[in-house]
Amino acid sequence: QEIKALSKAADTACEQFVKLYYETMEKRRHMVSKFYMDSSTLLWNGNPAKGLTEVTSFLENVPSTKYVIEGMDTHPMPGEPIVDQKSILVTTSGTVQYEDSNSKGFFQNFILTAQGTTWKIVSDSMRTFE
Amino acid sequence: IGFDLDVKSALPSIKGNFFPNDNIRDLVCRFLDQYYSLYDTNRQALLEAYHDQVIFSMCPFYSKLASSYPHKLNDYFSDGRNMSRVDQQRRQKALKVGRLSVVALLDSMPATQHDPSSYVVDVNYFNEANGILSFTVLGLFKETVTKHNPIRSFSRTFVTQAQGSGIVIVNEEFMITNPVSDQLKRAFQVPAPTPSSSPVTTSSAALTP
Repeated sequence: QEIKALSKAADTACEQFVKLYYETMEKRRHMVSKFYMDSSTLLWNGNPAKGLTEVTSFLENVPSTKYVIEGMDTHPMPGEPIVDQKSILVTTSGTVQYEDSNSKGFFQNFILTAQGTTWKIVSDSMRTFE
Repeated sequence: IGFDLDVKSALPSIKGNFFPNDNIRDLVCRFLDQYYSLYDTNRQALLEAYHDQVIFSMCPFYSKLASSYPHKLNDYFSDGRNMSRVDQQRRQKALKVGRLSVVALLDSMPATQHDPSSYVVDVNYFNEANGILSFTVLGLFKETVTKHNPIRSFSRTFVTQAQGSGIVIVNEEFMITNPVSDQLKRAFQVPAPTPSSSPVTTSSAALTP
């Protein structure tokens, strides 16, 4: 039914997003602002950032990273609750290595919303553990 | 002689739970307290916590950081929805829609005891206008009936909607993996009430209402 179609679309968006997002963080960090919008929020290990400028400058200052994705899942958010548009919830996990430090485990989740033909991050929340 | 470009940027320090304000902190802590006391004792009773049209999925995965942990996650894979592992058909089957199928799945999973001192909570989205509140809990639980009582590390992201004086779950993503050695050392140890303990441990005291 409708949920099936929405879920399939969410899966496709998630797969593309995860590949592009982590590639951009690793190799083209200066482009990472393209994923966010004016109302985006970010939480990195409890440190908040709000708005495109703050979020982008936070991410641009994080040391260079290398990710390995081990778990990934997504689904559509019912009732289009975030804004009056289509939204999905994406969760990822795996390991992240900052510069030369040891690999840490991480859990991360995103709420993405469709703005016209583009997905943008509404919220981005990450925790590392070791 | 090198160049001035080789500046290493530092990572910000790790902070504890994130709540946008005290009201939300109280609401989320109360919810988690009730939710996990039922989850560990009577999962059928969680029906009330879920919206009719809730969408849920569970994602078990092995982390290379915990590769020496001997207890397999086999109990979780048949209903797991790790997209880096399972095909389209399995993905559809593993997406649970509606509270009856969600609670039935939860009820079929191994019996647990959660460790509240391990929780770290982040409220990642909050919108007063539409009553949507989204938060993530990281923590540890122990399987109480499974042989050897393995400990698991989890992350659960709840998207909730205001209902009456409380909240009801409309989306949930549940990730399960094995713990790394430092997590195991801290598991089920009530944190010492000293300000010198790690920031994450100290702040999880905020979860006690």
